[in-house]
Amino acid sequence: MNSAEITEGSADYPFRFRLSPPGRWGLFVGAVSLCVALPLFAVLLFLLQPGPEWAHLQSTVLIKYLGNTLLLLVSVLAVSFLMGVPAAWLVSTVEFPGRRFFSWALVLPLAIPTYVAAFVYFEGPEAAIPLLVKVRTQWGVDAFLACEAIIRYGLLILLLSSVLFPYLFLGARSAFLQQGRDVLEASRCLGSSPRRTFFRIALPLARPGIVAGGALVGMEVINEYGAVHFFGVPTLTEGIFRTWFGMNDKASALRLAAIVMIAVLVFLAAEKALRGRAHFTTENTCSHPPARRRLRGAKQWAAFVICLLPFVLGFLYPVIRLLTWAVSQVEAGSPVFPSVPAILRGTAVATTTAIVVTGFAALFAYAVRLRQSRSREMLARIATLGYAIPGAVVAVGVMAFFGFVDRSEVPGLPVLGGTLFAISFAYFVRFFAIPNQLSHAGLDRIGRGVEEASRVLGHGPLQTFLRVNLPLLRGPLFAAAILLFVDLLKELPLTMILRPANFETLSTSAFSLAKEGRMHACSVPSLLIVLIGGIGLFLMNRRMDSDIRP
Amino acid sequence: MKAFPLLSLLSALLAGIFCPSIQADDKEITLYTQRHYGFDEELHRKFTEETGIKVNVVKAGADELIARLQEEGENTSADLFMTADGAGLDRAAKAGLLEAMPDFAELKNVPEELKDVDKKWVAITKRARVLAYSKDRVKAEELSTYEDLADPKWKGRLSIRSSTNAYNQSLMTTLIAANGKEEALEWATAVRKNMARPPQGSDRDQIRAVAAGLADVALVNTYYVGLLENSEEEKDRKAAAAIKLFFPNQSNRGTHVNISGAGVVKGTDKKEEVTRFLSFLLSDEVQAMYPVNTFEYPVVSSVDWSDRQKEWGSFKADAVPLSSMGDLTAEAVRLFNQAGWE
Amino acid sequence: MTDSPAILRFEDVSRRFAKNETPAVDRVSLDIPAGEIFALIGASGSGKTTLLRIAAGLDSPDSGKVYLGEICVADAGKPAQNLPPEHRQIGLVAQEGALFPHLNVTKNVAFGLAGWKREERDDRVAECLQIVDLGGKEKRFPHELSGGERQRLALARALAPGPEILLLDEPFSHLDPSLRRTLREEIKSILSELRQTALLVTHDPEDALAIAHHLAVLESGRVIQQGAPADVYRNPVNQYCAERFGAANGVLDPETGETKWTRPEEARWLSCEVADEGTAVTVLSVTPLGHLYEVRVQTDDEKKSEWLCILREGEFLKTGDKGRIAWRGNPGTVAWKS
Repeated sequence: MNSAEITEGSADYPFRFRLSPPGRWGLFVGAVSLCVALPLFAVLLFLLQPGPEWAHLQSTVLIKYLGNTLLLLVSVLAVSFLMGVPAAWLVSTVEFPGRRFFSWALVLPLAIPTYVAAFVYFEGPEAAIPLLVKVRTQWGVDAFLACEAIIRYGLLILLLSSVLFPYLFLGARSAFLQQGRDVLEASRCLGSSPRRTFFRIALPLARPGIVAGGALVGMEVINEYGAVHFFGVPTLTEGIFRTWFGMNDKASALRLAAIVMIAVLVFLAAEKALRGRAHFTTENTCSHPPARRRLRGAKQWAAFVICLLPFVLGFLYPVIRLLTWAVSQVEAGSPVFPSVPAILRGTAVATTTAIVVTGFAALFAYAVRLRQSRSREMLARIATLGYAIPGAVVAVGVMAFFGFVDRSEVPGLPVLGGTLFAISFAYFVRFFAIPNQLSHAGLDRIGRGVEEASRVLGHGPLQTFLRVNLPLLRGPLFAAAILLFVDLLKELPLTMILRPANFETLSTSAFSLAKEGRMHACSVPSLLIVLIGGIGLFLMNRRMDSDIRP
Repeated sequence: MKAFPLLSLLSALLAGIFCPSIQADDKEITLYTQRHYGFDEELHRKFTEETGIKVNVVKAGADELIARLQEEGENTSADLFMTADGAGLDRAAKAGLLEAMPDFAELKNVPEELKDVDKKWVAITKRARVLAYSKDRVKAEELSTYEDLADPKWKGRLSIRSSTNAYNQSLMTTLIAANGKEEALEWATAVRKNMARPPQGSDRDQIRAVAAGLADVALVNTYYVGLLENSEEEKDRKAAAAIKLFFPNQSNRGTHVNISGAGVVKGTDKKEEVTRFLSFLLSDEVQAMYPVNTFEYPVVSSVDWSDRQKEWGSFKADAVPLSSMGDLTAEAVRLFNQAGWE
Repeated sequence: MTDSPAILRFEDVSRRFAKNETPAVDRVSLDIPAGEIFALIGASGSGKTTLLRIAAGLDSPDSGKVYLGEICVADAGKPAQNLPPEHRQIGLVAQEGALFPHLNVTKNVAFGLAGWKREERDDRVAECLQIVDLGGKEKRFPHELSGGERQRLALARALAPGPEILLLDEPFSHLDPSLRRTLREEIKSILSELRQTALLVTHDPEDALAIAHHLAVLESGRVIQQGAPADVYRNPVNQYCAERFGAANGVLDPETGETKWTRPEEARWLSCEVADEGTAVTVLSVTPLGHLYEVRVQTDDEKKSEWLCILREGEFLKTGDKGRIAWRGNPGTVAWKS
């Protein structure tokens, strides 16, 4: 109270605080966390009250949904680990032809939405039909059904891994690049071969980065909607849609969502508990990354292939297929171009949302750090959970929230439901975790020294943030905004449910065409997503590279 | 200040994005629609040219739109609700989201069974859910009814899309109405077991699967065949050429016919404009456009079918009232779940 | 030189990181005898760490050979046959310990004992931890140890497999001075008790002088002097060598005409009356160091050299005082530039 009075009274400059006013910053942290947490709590509430259809779900499809979700989760994690981690190790520790190219190109598959990859890979089951027909005539219907399932599941796992592995690649790469060479050399001198050194030292030390990447892959798989639907592998997310919209049972649908959310939380907590007291970074000041050893002979080509394969599967092949489709469209004289003004609006919304949310996240991370207290840290933790809930659930939560606000008719407030504001707000709730985490990491790397110096030199917390932290955070914030932008560009379920009138994004136009089975027609919007996202990722990667290795 | 260009860009973007959506124009209506056909956009443009009334569109699944209408309540910007499936329309009406339509001339041309008794909704087009079978591997004599698809002789030979799809759900409601719950469940279980692959893809994909030899019989909406025959992709035209259509249950209750229709959203202040739009859609001119563009059947009896539709042949339609479909949808989904039909 | 056989031998070893650059290591030949602690001292960039890395197999020479015992482990002529570090049976204590942060104390020490039987390994770990006095901290993680404990753990880990030779790379450089002194003493006693051969790389004269039995001075990749610590300290061959071990004053030996280096504490202050001995000087400044004083003087001859002297008489001196400086063990030397 006292401090606030002093601030109010003696402020000779509107943005300058003489004393840190915990009130305002605390309020800001609380408000942001509350915004993100509201739909979360709403979902959790439903854990306790089963809807009318719950018993029915349990006795019929729940096991199947759970089984499919788990199967996809485990196998996609395993395959994307094999795609991402060895490649990350190679590009960060050895020299071979194409290394520089792969070190950024392996991020590009992130620009390809899973449902677009699904359109392309769906040619696989189609192409396999003659083979399947042969199997049926030769070995009967049961062998045929088994083969069909294997091809379909296999391709789905492959395509999901191919476009999601970059999360693991990025996590592992930054971990490997930050590993000091001294521990690796110490291991060699203690009689460990390079192989043992990799498995006993380098890989365990990269664990936080790999787990962070793996968590993102896992959440993407759990929230996956388009590709699984397309390949006929219903997961919990599809179950949520089906229960909610088909059976009109909101309570049971949200209960499913709560189960998903709790599973994610339990997994992350368990991983943290398993780490125990072990640390994964050395505080060495003089430890530089190891010099890259040049591979020779067959080894360098092996390395080349290990990096090439995921790149081809996750980027090159889909892009080439989309291009040929687009060309055949143009040749046939009937290219389907998405409505340009609508797309521009969609992209502009993605851009603005990315910038605004990133700005909020930076300020939020700073506010949390400003006064370290348990409550603020708890709030900060809550604010990152939005990523763990399916987009559709966030959408409905936000819809319900604005419905309530609009009904209560606050004077002077325009109707917000169904507006761009509502959809931007939902994006904010869903994706706040990404820029928030990157800002946290960035602030931690800056350290408190400069901040304290600025405060001692007479700048208030906000001034310090604007003049010291913000310029220093440029790199991570830029990366965060781009990642966010690419995610928004690809976003589907949330956009589908909340979009205002005449609001079309590249993803919605691509998906509605593909849902109709018009594969070639959807190639143009799909290519545009890949192109815009790819440019963003390229810029981001260049920035991150120069951050890690000046 | 370095931040200045960024800030000005941001505010320009914000202003550009948010302002137009706030200003209201009297000469416009907002349509919540499940229909996702390119032809609809052409129609909207034509309507705007003729009347000066702009058509704003929100596209999503029927149930998602219903959920949205419910949450938005009387604050909704929607004036008209359109679906590609009668059950969705009926559910919206029963949820109290629609209001009775004012009378207009064209409404009288629509047969009674294709509009709601309370005039909460009206059909705009019709489509039949039929069997598409392989010319080479199946003889028309082998096919008879929907119920026959449960016969073990079809094991590994059927191709049908997911039960999340509204067309399948509506078909299921007619089976429940005709045969009762138990039999419908047995039917769904057996049909699921007869499928050549688990349900996936769209109706087009089912036809493609039959053409490629993966399955012998697919369950599809009539107009998809027309769309494939006129596709820009040669592969699709070939697929359409490899199959024939069969209208099931002609010997008893008739083929399941679904509608695509529209209802006026409760509380709209654009009644006049909405009525103009509906009478536009039901005008002979527009009704005659549907059969050649989307290959749906017109609902106005005075309008002729397209030549292709005539080739498919006339058929007896299931007379089960459309208004019963909405009530049974949840039951249908439940039975599909129990049957293990994804 | 001792007669004991060399454990580690460098033969004409050179290493150049980039073409057209001066080599980091330039034709170095050295013998590290068994049971001794051998120190390599040099300014930063003098090539001492490179030499140590070549010994460990973490780097390979461009020319010359390296022997461990009788075995040639690196031969620039046949780089493909260089023995990789894991087969060299060496122990390495890195600058900041290079402890594995994800393993606890026991597991760090046991890391090099792969392939040992379980009981033997446990015994060996316990024994090594006993030696470095880390008993009772087995379950701690590296970040839960103090700086000195971490360095002792690094030593235990390096000693555990019983290496032929221990390589220590600036092991004390980031510790504070008092900790540094204790740890130095501890390590020295541990190593001499075990009669462990060791190669210590350092830039700190105190480390080298206190621990080493033998030392070599490296300048720009070349060995310019080696011998017993006291010898090198007292009789450096050039200014660089002299300055490795603290301040030195250049004085001219009138008999040989050679430059010699004397240490500040070797200065003797003579008042003017005692006459001829030494060189006439004027006091420039006096800094107290406790009971001794650091006195800067300038010679009165035409060379005007500046000398640094540690004198007890500083108590009575002030700027501008005149007197004479003589050097113990170097009678009759005259001024030379510093």
